[in-house]
Amino acid sequence: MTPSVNPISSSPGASGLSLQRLRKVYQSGDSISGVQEVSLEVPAGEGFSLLGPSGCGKTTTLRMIGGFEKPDAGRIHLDSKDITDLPSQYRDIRTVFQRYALFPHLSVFENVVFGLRMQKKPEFEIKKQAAIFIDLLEIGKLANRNVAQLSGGEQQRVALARALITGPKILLLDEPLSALDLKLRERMQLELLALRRKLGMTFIFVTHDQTEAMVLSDRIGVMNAGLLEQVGSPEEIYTQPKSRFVASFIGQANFMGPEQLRNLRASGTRTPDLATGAEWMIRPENLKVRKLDATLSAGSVGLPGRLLEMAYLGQNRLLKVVDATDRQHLISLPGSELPAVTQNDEILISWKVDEAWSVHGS
Amino acid sequence: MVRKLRQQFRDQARAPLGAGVEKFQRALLLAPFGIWFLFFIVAPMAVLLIMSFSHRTELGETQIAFEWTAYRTLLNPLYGKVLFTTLLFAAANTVVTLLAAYPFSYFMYRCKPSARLWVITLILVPFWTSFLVRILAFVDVLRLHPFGFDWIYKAPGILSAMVYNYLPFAVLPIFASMEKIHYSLIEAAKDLGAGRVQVLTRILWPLTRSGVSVAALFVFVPSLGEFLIPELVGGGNYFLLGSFLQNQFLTARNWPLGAATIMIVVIGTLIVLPLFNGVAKAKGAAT
Repeated sequence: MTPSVNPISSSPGASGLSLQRLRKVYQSGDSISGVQEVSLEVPAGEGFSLLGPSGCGKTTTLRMIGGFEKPDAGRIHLDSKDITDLPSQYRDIRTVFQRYALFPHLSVFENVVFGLRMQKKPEFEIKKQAAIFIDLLEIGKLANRNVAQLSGGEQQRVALARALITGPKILLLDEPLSALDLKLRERMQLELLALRRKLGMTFIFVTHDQTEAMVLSDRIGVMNAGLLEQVGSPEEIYTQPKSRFVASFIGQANFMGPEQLRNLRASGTRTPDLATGAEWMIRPENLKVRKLDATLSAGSVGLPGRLLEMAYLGQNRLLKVVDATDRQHLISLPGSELPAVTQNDEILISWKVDEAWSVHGS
Repeated sequence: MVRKLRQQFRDQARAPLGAGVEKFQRALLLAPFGIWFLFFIVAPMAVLLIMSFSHRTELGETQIAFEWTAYRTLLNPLYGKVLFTTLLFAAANTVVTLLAAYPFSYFMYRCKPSARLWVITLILVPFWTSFLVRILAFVDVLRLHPFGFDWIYKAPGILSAMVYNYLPFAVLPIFASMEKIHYSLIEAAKDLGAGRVQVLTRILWPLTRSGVSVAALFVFVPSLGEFLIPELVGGGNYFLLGSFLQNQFLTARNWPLGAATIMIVVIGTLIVLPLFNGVAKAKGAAT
């Protein structure tokens, strides 16, 4: 049964969340944190993740959307309505808090229906709605339990039911899986994804875990030092990072600057010139290992280096290589492929020119 | 909640230590408390019990005997009135102190952790001065007719001095129970549509009720024996239990009567205390 949460408007663009130059700065001593400036459009029905290291401003952004922080500047619109000055309860936006914030003195059922009780809904409607959402989150067995007796995963389901029952247009989830252990986290990721697909509503996640962001969202916004560095699909963010920060925050990245490229070997093809201040970014899985005297195929370039370490991880094999400029590079080969090299061998790292991506910044 | 604490203590005492030697070690660990309890609670109570049945000579000496004279004297309605006035003051003090302490605790709860330390210091610093000096200073403050009130030597004056004096004893347990509430609980309640009143009645109050019970106990019981405040601030206009006891022991030299009064108050408290626990427990179970 699909609950009638909120019929999403089918015309994109008109409906959705829009942040315009949001700013919220905290100053303590001479350290400044918070959000410098964030502008963002999240169309209705999208799964969006704000991803970044701790202190990058992602939680502050989420709290401004939720109505828990007043922005210093900027506006927030939901479906072209300005909601910047509305208290959280009057926005069609609900928050699932980091540690779920369930009311410890109330039963699971009373937690779930808390929002409806506050709206003074009649008892029969409370029961009806509760049945729908208790069914949706599969927490029927827990209804009469005390929240203290629930596991982390169960608490999350209750928190989701409690937020969804009020029929929001957008659900905000602050580090929704960080309280769970690894196995459960992986399962809940897929469950959250299925839930979002089923409801077809906007979910905005805040997370510092790139895998979580990539699994859960259609688009990711990478934040750093109070700014949104890049917004794009998980694939765009991974393959075409806009800055060195994004490249190194999402997955592993190898960087080749002008200094490294001086030792470059190329057969026929030449690497396109680098803009000043830029570096080539190559993902570990795009690097190959060759014998030092190997001939490079067309379109490939090679950099001499010495093999430092080699580790077998099952799915893949990781190699650490240091080049003549003392910079280390990480190479990921398929686990089934055993390179004919041993530790401390002088080797050649090679890559296809068109698999290198130029990035700026530090 | 006293029962809860007791249970906790029992559970800790039962923690598996092993047998034999550990049993002795446990006894050794509990010994200081046992000795303290014996010397400062059991022994004085025994002395008072014996004293309450003793005989008072014409000259005010106490001779060990077994007679009900002191208890029979207490049947006089005059003493009932003293007890009633005392209960009234203690109850009023408890109510007003809790009403003041609750918002104060909330204020502390909302302070940044660094500011909290300052607030706690501010309410505790006056306790480094002698109680007597503080009360005398309070009398001087009342003499200035603060806010236009002439409360000196009057019931509101006594009450305000009591509230001033007992506030920290109520703030600390209430704050301790509030501190455990993660603020996201309040944000979640507001997000789900709770107004200020509903946040108070549906979230804060149920979660701090045990702290309020402890605070009530901390204020009510000692204010039953309060005698300096009614004496100094009330100017002798109100004759409370504390003054009465002090009178019997130091002025009237009727120790059996004083001891009998204490026995009655102690027995009364012992009867009321478990009831109080029962209420707290029943309320706790209801949620």
